[in-house]
Amino acid sequence: MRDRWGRVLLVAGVLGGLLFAACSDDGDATATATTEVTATTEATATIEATAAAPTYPMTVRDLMGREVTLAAAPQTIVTTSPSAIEILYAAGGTAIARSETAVHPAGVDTLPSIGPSYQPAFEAIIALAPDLVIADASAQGHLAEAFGGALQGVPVLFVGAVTYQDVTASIRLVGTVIGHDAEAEAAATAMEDVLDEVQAATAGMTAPRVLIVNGAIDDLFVALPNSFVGDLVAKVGGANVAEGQPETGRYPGYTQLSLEAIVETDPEVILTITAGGPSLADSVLADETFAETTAVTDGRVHDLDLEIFLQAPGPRAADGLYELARLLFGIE
Amino acid sequence: MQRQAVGGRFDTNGVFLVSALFLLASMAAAVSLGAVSLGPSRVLNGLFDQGDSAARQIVWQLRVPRVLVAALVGANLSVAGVLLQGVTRNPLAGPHVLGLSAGAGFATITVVVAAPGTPIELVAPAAFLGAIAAAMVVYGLAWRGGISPVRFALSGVATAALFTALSTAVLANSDLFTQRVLSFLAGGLFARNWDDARQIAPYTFALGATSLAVAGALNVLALGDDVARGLGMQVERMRLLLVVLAAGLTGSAVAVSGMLAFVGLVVPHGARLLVGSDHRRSAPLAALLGASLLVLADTLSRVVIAPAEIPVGILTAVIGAPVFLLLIRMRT
Amino acid sequence: MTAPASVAAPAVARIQASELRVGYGSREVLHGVSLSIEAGELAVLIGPNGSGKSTLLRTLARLVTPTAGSVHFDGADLGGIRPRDLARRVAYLPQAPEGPRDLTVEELVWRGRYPNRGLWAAARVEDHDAVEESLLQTGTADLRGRALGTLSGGEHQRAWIAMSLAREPDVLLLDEPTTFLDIGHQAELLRLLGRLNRERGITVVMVLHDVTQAAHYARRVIAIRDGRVMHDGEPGEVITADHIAELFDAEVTVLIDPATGAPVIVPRMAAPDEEA
Repeated sequence: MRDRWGRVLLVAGVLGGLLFAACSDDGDATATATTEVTATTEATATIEATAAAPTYPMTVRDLMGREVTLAAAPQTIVTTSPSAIEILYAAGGTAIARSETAVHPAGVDTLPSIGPSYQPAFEAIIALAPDLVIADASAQGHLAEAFGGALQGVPVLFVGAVTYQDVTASIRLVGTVIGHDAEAEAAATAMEDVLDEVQAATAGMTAPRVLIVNGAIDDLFVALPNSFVGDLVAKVGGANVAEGQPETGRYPGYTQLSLEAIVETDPEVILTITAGGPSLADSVLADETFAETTAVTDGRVHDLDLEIFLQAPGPRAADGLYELARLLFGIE
Repeated sequence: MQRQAVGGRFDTNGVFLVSALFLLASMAAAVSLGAVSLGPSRVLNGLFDQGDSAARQIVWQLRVPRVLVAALVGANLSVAGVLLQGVTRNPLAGPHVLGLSAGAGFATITVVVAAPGTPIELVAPAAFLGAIAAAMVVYGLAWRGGISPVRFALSGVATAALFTALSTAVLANSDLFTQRVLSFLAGGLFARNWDDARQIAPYTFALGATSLAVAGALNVLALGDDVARGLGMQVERMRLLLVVLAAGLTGSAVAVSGMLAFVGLVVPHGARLLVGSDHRRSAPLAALLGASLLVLADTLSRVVIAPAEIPVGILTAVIGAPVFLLLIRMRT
Repeated sequence: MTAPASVAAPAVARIQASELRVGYGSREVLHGVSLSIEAGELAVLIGPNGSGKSTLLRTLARLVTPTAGSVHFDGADLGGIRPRDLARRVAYLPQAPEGPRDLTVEELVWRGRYPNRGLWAAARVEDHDAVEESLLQTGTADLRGRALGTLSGGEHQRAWIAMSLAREPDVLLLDEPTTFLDIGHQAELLRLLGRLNRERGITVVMVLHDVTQAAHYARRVIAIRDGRVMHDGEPGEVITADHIAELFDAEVTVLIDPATGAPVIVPRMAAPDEEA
């Protein structure tokens, strides 16, 4: 009797396969329709709608180079990263939900959470019935397909920043999309004014050799100029000691150098970003390997704000520029 | 009529009935629960497309395919575990322990890094080939005019380490982490959709059915190579077939869910405990139990700290490790 | 399906080995062994460790492929017989076989029907009968529900003999079936094999470690040393003090068992070392 198992199971397997194919046809059609992600990797936002009076339907190109079409002015907006919500609010909009760790600007920490930005709960987003989702191009870019598949029919706009200009471009883009052009323009211009002001103040001053690290003292990641913090330091006028090094390790914009190679560069300023745990600046100051570097002997090792420089690159980068001008050049 | 022998401690038909019902109940619970509480009527609306588009999206596009992927991955890894434990006559064997998962992971990473545009349909075959390559390396290392189970297991440990190191090397030398590599490395079942279900289903049904059909050969192999040959079995050929089947099941599972330890190791023990050492019974039961285990673990992973998720790999280890120890105690 | 075997012309030996050479790697173990076993014989292979007797048995079971020479089974070249066909006719049992500890005796015996059924055939009446008959013949019917891990050495060995019988073979090839058994169980097992040989006409070829046992139970003894057949004949002819000395480099006295007339080997104990 049980010896027929083999044959029964073969038949069951084939039938199961057919059934499965039949059931999943529906999913096939919808999935392919919504996962059209264009291959362009331009990081600049080109706005195709008219700037004067917002007209819908509106099609824009987001920071991942995807075309996003909105049928009408969005009223219920879900943001899925700290950067995204800060950019939205800077552009004069408001969100109905945030990601777990988003606490800026003031007041958003009471909004419902859709989970962590690295793994947003798509069903929580759907349940909120948003008419626009603003996601993070740098933190969530790898989830673009998943967003498309999960949030069918909901426009998803990827914004976010690897450079200071990405922030201003994101603010302007969001302003356009939500019909707040003027407010967004003012915010972006203000950020650009800060940049001009800081660059004017530091112009002609000798660029200090700067090392930017995060991670742990025995597992350091060194920021390159093409990271967000690296971009800000370069804009302020610092000379990144890791410039020209290839990217290694798992974070874009960062490299892993041996301690010897790091110390060899003899940085005059060491900027650290501590992501939890004891201050990395303190660790560097206490570390024997770094003891002879100019930065340590001069006492110029400083912890940077985790959110502004790493976790939530956004409008507060303007404050970051002032902070860097102070730390690198003593400009208050 | 052959009498049901008393290898297991329970009535075989009863065990199968209860296990099948348990799987159905697990899947029903998994479809009903999530970050959003829908209530029974909206879950049914979503399942049967009763005009509730949010429920439809959440239930049919997010939960159902994910539950199916969990069930198929669990079944694949568990049946692969039965095959490998049978072939090696080693209760500590499994797709993970023997390096098949690591081979599949290496192939996946290599394909995705070397050719980021590779269509998703080609990832599972690549992982399949990677798992087979690993199996052949294990075989080659263990071969001394025949395969001793102990040498096979030891070679597996070495091979797992080898392919893990190769994966690390590929990753270290890739300048940027592509989207799919990031998703793959995260492992688990986050945002798995109909595409993933469609990717793994043919392997589960075709290779799974074949595996169950030839599971009886493991009964013969269990008597030792000489006895099996004396019974007219072409031992090396059969062993190769079984290892290739296990590699296919493992590879397709790894392609959609990354590395999930413990499932393929623990579930075969549970199945044997319930129905004894006849592989014609323990293999199909392992498929049912493995599917249930992963569906339940994934449901927990989505619900416990919703809207955030616990990585399902952590849950399978947390559930699997103590269960494994318990089973070992009970069997000795 | 066993009809052709019994119809085979008596002129053809059941097993005919000709000029067998077998080697592992560069080391040759059998140097041209020729041997003919007739249907219904009970033959015992004896010889010192490493003489090649186990290899010869494995070659007859086609577990080892000879580098030269041939084995014919009922006149057919062994290499040309399909594995399952051969397995239905010839049952090989290795020394100290091991199965899953939780396997029951009945399950083990059913697995012995593999050559007759394959993986997928449903169990037929003749399968059931063969299994029951094997259990009965070996006195293991009462043990059918017991797990292998719970059996004594003698029970364990009888269960494996039952498994070998389930295919209803013409030939049993057994490699030291009495290893690990106490004297009582050794005698019991050898009596069982003798009965199977007499009553069911099964040809038995086995390797035995104990020369006295061989002399007692076999009707033919084949003595092997260094990969060659040294002596072949009735126990009384083969087992002599001279032959044993030549085979095993051991001084023995051969007595005759007054009850059976079979030779009995008594090793001559070396004299205690002279005290210094």
